[in-house]
Amino acid sequence: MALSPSQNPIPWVAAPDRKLTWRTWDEAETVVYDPGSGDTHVLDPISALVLERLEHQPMTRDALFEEVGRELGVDVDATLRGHVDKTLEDFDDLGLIAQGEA
Amino acid sequence: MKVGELTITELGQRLAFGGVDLHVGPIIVRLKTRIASLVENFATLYADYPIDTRTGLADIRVTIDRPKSLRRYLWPLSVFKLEGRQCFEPFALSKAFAMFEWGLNWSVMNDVHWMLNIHSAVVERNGFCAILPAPPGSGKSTLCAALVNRGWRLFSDEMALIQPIDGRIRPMPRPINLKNNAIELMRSYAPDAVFGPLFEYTQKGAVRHMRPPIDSVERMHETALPSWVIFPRYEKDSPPKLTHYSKAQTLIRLAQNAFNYSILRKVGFDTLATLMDRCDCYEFVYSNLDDAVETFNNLKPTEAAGAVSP
Repeated sequence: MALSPSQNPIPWVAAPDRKLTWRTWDEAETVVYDPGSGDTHVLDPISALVLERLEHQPMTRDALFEEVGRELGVDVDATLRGHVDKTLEDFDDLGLIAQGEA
Repeated sequence: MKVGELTITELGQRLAFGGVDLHVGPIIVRLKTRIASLVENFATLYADYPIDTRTGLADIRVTIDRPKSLRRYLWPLSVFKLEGRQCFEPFALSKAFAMFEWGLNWSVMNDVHWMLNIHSAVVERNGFCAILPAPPGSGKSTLCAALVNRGWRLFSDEMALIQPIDGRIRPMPRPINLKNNAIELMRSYAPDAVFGPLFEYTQKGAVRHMRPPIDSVERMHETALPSWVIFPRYEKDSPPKLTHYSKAQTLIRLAQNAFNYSILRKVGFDTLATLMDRCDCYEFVYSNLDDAVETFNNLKPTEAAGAVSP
């Protein structure tokens, strides 16, 4: 069975040309402005964590599962994996991330 | 010189020949018209506004007159022109003032992009502004009218104009546009207020304009910082209920309600983000105007907007 893009082991990386502007309030409410598209996005804490990590370095989805689980202090279970995979798919659709080395 | 210092004859002559350059907050509007009802309504509702007699420069130039075609002999119509170009289908002659108000809103939305422009009422008290964004029918203008008749200063019942450079809001006080049931409600709530004529059967139903308090007009150049963003919603028989609302979601809703967010791009985002830094954000449900005013009077300004801790 073929792997979906988000399940592929190739690392994900934030799109280098986007230069996102971030604002966070109360450590839980994050918005980012994407000058490439002119769109503004609201991020939940997990989505914000995923995008923030990928802005710093490429990471595989497995590494992201571990990173998100460690940051949140929770086990890496199917729920967490599902949330991260959906986040990766959404960011990919929006052009905010891509697979490959930076 | 103020509009109200001219006799109706003098005003009519000025409006017909050369036009009147009117200070409306940060812009100067030049109105030219020969329509007698528009002259009369303008004299009533803009009586306290200063006329610019020095610069000869207007930001927005509007002409409203009867069409030149033969149709005018069959149907009494008026035509709104911005910079000499007809912008809309002709309007009933008797409703020329209503067309002036809508057309002026439209002109500002389309032409004024040096400030972020959000579809919203704005009122101010003790140096702090409350921004009231809401869709039509939510009771935004009614609540705004009630507040400005109970000590709050009118910035606008239609648009929040935010300067990107410092985040301050520019007042653009104009007659408050009341619709349908709100008209009689406000006539009894503010019996001393001055109202224009009733325009029935418009696209928005019955419409009547309320003249802004003179203090709001005389202070039209006095900016203020925002401290609250409040989404009001009228709900029959509901007690006043003020609920904290997410800043991130508020930013998105304001961006969706802004006329030029996509034009200003990152400047627009930075302006809204700074606004969120300064403001407390709420959803507000109400049914009784006195209760609503009391709720607003009890709001505490944020320190980020410049309030000093006791």
